[in-house]
Amino acid sequence: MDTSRLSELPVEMLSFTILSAAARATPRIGRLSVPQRKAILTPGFVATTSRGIIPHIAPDVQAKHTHIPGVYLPIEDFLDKAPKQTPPIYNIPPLPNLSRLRRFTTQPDDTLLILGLRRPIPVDAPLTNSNEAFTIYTSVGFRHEKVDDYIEAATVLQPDIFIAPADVVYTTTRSIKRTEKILDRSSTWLDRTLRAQTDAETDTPFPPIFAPILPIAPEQQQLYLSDLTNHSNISGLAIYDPIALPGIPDSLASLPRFSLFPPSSPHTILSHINAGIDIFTIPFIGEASDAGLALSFSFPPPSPSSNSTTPEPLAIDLALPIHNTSLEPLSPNCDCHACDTCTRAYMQHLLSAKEMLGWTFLQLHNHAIMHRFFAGIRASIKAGTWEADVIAFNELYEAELPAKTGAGPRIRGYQYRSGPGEKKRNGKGYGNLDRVAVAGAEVGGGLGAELAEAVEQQDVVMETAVDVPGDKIEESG
Amino acid sequence: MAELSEPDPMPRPPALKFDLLAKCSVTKARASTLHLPHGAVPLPIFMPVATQASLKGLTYEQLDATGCRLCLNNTYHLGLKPGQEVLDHVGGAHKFQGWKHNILTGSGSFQMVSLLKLAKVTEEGVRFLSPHDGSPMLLTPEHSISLQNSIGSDIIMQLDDVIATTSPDLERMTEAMRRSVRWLDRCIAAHKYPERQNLFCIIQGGLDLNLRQECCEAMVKRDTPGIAIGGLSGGEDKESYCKVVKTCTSLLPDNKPRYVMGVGYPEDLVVSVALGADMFDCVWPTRTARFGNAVTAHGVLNLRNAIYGNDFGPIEEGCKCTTCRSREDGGMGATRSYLNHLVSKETVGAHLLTIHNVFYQLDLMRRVRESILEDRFPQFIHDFFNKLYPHGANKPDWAKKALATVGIVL
Repeated sequence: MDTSRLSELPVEMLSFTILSAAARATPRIGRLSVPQRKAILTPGFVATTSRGIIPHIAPDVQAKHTHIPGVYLPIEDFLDKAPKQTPPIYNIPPLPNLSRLRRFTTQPDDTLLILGLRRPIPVDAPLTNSNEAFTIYTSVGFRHEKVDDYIEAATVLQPDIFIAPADVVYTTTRSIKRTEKILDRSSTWLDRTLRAQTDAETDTPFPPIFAPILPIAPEQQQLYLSDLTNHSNISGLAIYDPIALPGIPDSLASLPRFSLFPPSSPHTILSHINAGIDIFTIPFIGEASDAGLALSFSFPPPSPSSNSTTPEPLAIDLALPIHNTSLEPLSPNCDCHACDTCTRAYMQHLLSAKEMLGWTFLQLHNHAIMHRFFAGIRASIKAGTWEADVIAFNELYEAELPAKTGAGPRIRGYQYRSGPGEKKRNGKGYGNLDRVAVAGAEVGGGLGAELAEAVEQQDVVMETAVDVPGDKIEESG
Repeated sequence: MAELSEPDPMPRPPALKFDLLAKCSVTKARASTLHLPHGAVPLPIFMPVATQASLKGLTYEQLDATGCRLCLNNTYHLGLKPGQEVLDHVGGAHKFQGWKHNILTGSGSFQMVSLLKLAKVTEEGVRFLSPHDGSPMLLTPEHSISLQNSIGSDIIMQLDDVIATTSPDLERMTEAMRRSVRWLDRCIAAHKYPERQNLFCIIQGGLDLNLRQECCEAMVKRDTPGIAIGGLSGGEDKESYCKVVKTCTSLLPDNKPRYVMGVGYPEDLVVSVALGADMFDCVWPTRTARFGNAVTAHGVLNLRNAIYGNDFGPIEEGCKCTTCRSREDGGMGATRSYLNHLVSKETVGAHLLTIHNVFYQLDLMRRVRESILEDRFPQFIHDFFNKLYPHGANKPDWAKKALATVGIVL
């Protein structure tokens, strides 16, 4: 064999090493590595994104002040202009060592980029998938994205990991006929993806593929699962629902399992680790930040204070006024940038003033808490104390995150679809002055009328401006 | 109408040192360094506005990286939220928001103009209803200073009686100007920490140059560490604005910083420096960022416009802000296309544009200062206007007229 050609052999694009005993046994610890990217230690998590960024975290802050090893990017966030125009993300020229996806989104150099179909909590679509296309929701509405276009995006955008398309239905009830369709389509779409990989040119290699495991019972997708074992070039599995995990064939046990199923609490994460998930996407981190909640749990749990019988809360609600003089960090013993630089009093102020920085700090803190939570989980598995630690965790903490009291940023069209006759999700920007006007009217005299007029003028001013969260108070010097 | 009494000058020494380094040989521009309790600040300077103790989504580390060493907080807003008690408890605004550099606080009088219908001015102070709970409140010179003492800002502003410059009522204007002088005396008397906080007076008098002159003379006698020219940027025409600035700077001593309040458009900054002003603040660069607008040497770009959808250049070629700088250069390398994708949809879009706009304003003043130090400010002005108005003829008349009074023909 010509040795000069040896050096041209592609380096392994992705490797997953299981560090605990047997691949089949759970929980397990491992390490997913891709050259030039941060390794993901498993069990672990990647951050969820919106339009290419982790909400409220600018890429410079992400690179400097988080440990986030990777992000999940849904293709539907980038297709607003299609099909009339080619979406800009496909047009941006790549640079050496800088893929279109990374260059467009300004994601840091060492962050692992995982490309999938839909947002982590997809907006339920009124359209159904077809044999050739799946439904997406962009900032301009619902439409179909062709499966072949999505497969082509893998080589054009060059993510580090590509989730193969699947005919996923996000409703709980579905007919047997529909289940058959899901299986047929998903299997065809996966075949096309794998063929595209085989056919890929060397200068635009096809990224490592994660094959979808469908969100239906294992026995219903038995054939589909056994088909997977015939393919040697599947690098991992994308799990849409952990109920399917027991059906994964032994020969695929050593593949990393990436979950797109949103856990509702840390307790759910623990049970999904027991079920065999390696890498999580966790939308509740961002939901907590938007709600003004600073996560406050740790794993293994601290020993309970002896006289306390009530469970500990999973988060601190910083929107509550009781924090407004507290000089404590967001949560004790946290070394995140937010806890380093600000107090609960300042956080309470930012949230009550609806300043954007409040959500930034909470995102940094909540991602840091989750980073340590998973580090604790790996240490516990390694030390063999896992089962006892899980029991202690479930006993110590409340089952769910606290109910949200903070108002949060304005909700955008692409994040949510309103039903018929539903109340407005976003409050009125200048409600404060309305109340003043009422108060003024109660005071009586001409002032009330003048106030009402001032309110009206304010509203006109605000209507002309594009809403950006935190823009509800007039700036002034 | 009450005449003004003899002044009771500021106790000395002030909590600042003003080093005048150079004067332009043609215009009235000055380059200086202002040494404040939280570090040195180069003048001329633009100060971004963190109204509610936060600069619109930026971490203070990001603000630091724009080069900002002096930013504004607002007394009126901080007095309502988090309130004086909390500020006293946490030990002032620097600690509260984690900002290591300097802070300047407005007294809250600007809010009287912006919320005039909510307020009633008497000799005692300003009565208004709290926008938070509708309760009646009274802002007096003493209370404003007490709040600013609790905030602990490096530069504090007197409470003044601000009315719209365009008001035709000369009697009310005269009253407001003289009342502002009387309130200055009350502010000086109420100021608890002159050794660590610098109280600036605010020249009033609307567009009436005689009133402005009377106010300058009365206030200069009070010998405050710095002097602000207030009541402008209230919708007056720019020619009148420039006349007021030039009249005032001609009457003010050389050895004190001069702050023109509420000014922020790049061409206004450059012309005002030529007329002898040193310090400026305005919410425009940060507010306009949130509406998707980027400030550049060639004008303002509205990045929400679809024409930027496939524009893969930086906001401004050669810009050294963290948003525009390339990845190799340690920046984010954000493209106009990506900002078009983000702005008004994700808060990070606002963060990235705010970084750029604040940097642009600070960098503009840095370059102005350099040119004054090297005595090539007149050339700088020509270059600046030629870039902003590349087709020669359409340069604004007000700027031509104002610059002509200080020896520059555009």
